Amino acid sequence: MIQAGVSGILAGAAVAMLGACMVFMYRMVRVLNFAQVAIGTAGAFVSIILGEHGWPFVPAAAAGVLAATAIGVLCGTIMSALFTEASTEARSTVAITFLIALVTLGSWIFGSDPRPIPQLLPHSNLQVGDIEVSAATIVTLVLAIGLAGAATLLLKRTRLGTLLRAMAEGSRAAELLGVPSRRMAIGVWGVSAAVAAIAVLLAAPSRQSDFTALSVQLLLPAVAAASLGLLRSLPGAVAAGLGLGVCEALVTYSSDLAPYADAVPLLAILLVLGWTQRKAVWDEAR
Amino acid sequence: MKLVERVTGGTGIGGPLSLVAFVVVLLVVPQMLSDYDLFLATSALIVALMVQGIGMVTGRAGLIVLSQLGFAAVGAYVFLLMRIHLGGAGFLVAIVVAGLATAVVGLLVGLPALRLRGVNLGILTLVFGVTVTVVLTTKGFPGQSKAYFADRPDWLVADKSYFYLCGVVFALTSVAFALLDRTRLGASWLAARRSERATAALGRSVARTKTSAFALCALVAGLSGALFVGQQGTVTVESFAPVTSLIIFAVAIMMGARYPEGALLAGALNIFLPVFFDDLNISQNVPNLLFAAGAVIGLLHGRGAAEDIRHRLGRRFGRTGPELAVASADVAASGNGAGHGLAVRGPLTVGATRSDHAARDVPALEIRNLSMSYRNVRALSDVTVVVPQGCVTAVIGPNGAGKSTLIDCVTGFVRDYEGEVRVLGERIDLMPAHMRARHGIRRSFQQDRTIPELTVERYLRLAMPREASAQTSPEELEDMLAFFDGPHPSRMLASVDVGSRRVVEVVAAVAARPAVVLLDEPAAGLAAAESMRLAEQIAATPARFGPAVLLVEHDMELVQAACTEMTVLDFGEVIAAGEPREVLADTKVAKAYLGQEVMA
Amino acid sequence: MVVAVGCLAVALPLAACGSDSSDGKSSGGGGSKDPISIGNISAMSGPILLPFGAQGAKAYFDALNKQGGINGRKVNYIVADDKSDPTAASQQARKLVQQNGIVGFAGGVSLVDCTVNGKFYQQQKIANVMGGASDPTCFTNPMISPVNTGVLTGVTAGLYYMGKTLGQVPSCTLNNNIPTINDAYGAAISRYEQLAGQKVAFQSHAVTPNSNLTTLMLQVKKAGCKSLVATFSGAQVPALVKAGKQVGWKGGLLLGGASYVASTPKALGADGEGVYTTSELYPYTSRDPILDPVKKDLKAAGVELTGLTEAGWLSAKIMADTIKGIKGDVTKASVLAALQKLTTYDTAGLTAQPYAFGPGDAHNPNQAIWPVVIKNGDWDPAATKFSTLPSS
Repeated sequence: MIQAGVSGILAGAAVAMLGACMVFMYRMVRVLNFAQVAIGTAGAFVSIILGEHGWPFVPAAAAGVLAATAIGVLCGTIMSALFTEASTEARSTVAITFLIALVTLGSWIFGSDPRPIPQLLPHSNLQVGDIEVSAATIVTLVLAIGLAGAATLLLKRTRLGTLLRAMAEGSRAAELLGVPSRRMAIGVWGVSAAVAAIAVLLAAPSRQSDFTALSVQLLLPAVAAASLGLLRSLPGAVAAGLGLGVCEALVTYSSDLAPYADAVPLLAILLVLGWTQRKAVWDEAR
Repeated sequence: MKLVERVTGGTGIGGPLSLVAFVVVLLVVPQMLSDYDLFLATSALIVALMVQGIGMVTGRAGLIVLSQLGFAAVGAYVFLLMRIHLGGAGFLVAIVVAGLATAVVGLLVGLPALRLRGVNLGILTLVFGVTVTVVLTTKGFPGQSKAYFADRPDWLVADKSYFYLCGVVFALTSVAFALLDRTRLGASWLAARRSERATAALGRSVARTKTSAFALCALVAGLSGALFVGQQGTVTVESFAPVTSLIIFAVAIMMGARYPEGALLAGALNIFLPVFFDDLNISQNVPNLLFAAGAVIGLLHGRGAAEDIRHRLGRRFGRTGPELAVASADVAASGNGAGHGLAVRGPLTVGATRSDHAARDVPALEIRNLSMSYRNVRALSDVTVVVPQGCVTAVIGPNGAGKSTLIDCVTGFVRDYEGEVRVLGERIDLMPAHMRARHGIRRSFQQDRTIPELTVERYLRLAMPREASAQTSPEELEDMLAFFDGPHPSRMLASVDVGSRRVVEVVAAVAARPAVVLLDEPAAGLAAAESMRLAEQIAATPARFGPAVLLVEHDMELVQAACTEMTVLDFGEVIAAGEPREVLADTKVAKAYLGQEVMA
Repeated sequence: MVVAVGCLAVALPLAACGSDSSDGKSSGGGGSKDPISIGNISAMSGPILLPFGAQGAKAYFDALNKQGGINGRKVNYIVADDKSDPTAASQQARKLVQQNGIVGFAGGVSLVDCTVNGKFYQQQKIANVMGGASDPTCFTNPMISPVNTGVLTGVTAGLYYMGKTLGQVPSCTLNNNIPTINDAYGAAISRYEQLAGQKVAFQSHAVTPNSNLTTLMLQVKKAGCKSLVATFSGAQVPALVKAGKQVGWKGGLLLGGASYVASTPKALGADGEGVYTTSELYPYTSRDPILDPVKKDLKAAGVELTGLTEAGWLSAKIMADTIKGIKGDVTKASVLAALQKLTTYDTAGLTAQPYAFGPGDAHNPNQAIWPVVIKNGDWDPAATKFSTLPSS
């Protein structure tokens, strides 16, 4: 039982990273990036293809992360060139079109053949009492928590963080104050894309790894994690991602409920948001 | 023809024309097409039906809904259940029941929408769609394991008849939606998209507005799911994949789903574009890319192609049609919420009628010992304000004195306060905002909260209780507007300047004939001369139109000119009350209020 | 611009009609020299690519056309893409049958075709000699008789091989969650339990692309399974094997037939050694001359030999040989009639049993698998003959 829960941490930590990316983007550049996972998957696939061509893991992974960054920057450029003033909902709808385009292109280019997924970490397990924890689990977990912590500190403590928050408050106003909003917004897209690629690379070995499956199946829990973080809190999104991963693993472990594992996010959203938002009677428009 | 006129508002470009054209096309098309093309055309109609639901929730109410195929799957499920297990219900009966049952599901999905807004709602609906497929993947559709064939009755076996059936269903829902657009509910959807508070302030239940949009959206999706099963003869969960929902959403945005022709175009594009590329031996991946690109263009223009055509035609022919095309892309100005839904449906008494019956010495509005804290900060403490009938009473005070909080408490937008609020002697503290509005408290907002898609007259009539609206002639409205120097009732609010829109808001509050009108800084942004004119108009309002006025203002000259009673708030406490001259002579007032004025 | 898009949307249906109506219906009379149209619905694009059956069948028809076709008539082989999307599949079926006037289907490999179109085929009375059927409804339709074994018989045969032939008991099984056939999985497993007199220690039919495979492998380990039949293929396979390693499960693994492709051992790398799969036809990695005719045609067409291209080739050959025997008009009716008389067709060793269509309401002529195993990074036959299920 506990072992089953632990087995959900790896998937959960990847979801946590992706969810935190989405929260970060939502806060900084006012978009719920439905394409986040697809961008990361595209990067991961570049790594995989390079790995097939004999590249060692580290340079292949680095190239993949770079590729994801490039795609993220491209999406960010389109978004800030055309939709700077648009509402969050309209921008998020644009992100949906990015998702459609990326999934279509991804399955077109990469096909659905099984591919050797490069793995950074050997199959080494740590024994804690009766529980075995894989190295990948620990690394992903540390990375997810570390990145969320680092991003939170960055926003609170550094000058860059101050600039970012100024940009988030209002692009135009910040621009007048001399904050290079547009470049920074595109930078946010790029950085989030890079983190997403890392998350997908870490999660890919233990998942069905064709392009569509990765980018769509990881999207739902990730988007749920972002939502459970109230689209505000990076630590909240990380906790939610881990929670979802563990819950899904436990549900899968109980054979009767297993078929419904994919319904866990709906329940979580209804329960958590239903409770936290119970007082949100009115919208923001006054 | 009368029906057609009502549907299109009588003025619509291509309104009656398009309905006639649709019927003609519906009759002619099957004669021209081969079996295969007819099958495709039927599919296009079924998708168009589904897209209409997006036009309802996204195009009108401004909420994101990404679960159309989830709803369609529910419709398909119920349809099969009816046909197989529940005594083999008739084909049409099963379709209608499927639509209605799905509407109930839509209502339930709409309930969280009372608290979740914007992209959160998008997430919720997306996850809902996924969950539907998860459950159906495991449970299967009724009769699926026996590969049940959803046989059509004899009169529907022919593909042509089935095409007609789908066309008729689409035409019926189009007409029904267009008729609904003309109703108060139709206007409420547009209102809720703009501001939930303003919607409730008009006496409209936000909860009912939003859930009804979801229910109607699910209704058409459920119908289309049932029709889909009938067309295919069989069903599989893969038909309702969540990703396909996203693509249909993109196509809806691309073409603009609020109007029937947009929905039709979206359906046609969704079905025929892939076929077109297949015939050219071009990869089936290309159409999806085009849909994505098209949606971006639609979002960029702020309206889909069909809405754009209406808009351009409207401009060319010098009018904007019954209602200006509104960006389906401008999905929710910023999301929406709800009043305390499930309102107690009491007798709907109009304020004026009430005050006619009420004794003249009962105050129009009585605020007794009202206290309210935000977390640990005391915003109002022990505030008592009485607005007698027939009077203009002002509440003044420096910024942060608690004036806006007071209005919010009285009108029910903030409800965890202590104390009592009575309208014509009746306690209203337990009522949600929209019920308070109906029980005789109307308010204006500091920002413009009118609905650009409506004419001035329609907006006023939306604000008025049904009976009052029925009793008020267009001329009376015109007079009332003229009295306040407002725009002509036939003008679109979108074409009216911001100052006049605020006037319209004041007129709307007065026209609803409540017991009391709360005006929140009505003179903000007015020049001195205009401001004095407004003061005269406000001062004359109780005698001329009935309602007492509670005026919240900064502008001292306006207040002095308009009111007969005055209450001064500072740091949430009443520091003086009485006749304006006495109050203003009070040194405490001078110190608190004027002192700050000087500093500012 | 937007107006242009709108106009395009209006113009498209018309254009589509125009381009379609030109393909007339051509089945031709008895003495006709018109081409005979044969159709195929396969996943040529979309999330899962399965063009192999179509490629194999086309290679056969190309070679046949070079030799003059069927009784002097060329074969017009039309491949339609279903994108693994049910809506597209139903459209394509109507296009092929109603628009292109095909006389039958051959060589299709699709995940959705049978479920979506099964009833349409019955209505239209058109026969389908399927190349790679995965969906169980392909085996319960009077109009469809696939050349391959299929997932349900595959589960029984796989369990029988691992549990009975290799003696790795208890056996367990993991299957993808396919609506409607969870009962059928149960029946397939009971069939094994009866035939072998052994019990399955753990079974789950609830696997989805999103499933946490590590959790499932934990359960497999906990149940003490010595062998596992997982009817997976494609991108699911590497994840499953990794998950097994992760939880430290050591036992015999046998995959679904669709994983019998060159990319599987490549994707698994060193982890793949000793992993089994089932070849539903004669193993394509065998060097036996039985495959020579297949290899010759595929080579000429530049198509790689795989289990599914082999199956596509075989179904094309069956269809062509059947049509050859028809005296009179070649129509969908005469083709169906000829196939319904076809109760035994010698596949020249490509399948364990002779192929059959016949008059029945359900067809699953292929009741055998040939186990293959990964050895030195490539598939290698693990036996010297088919492993046929004993008839109970």
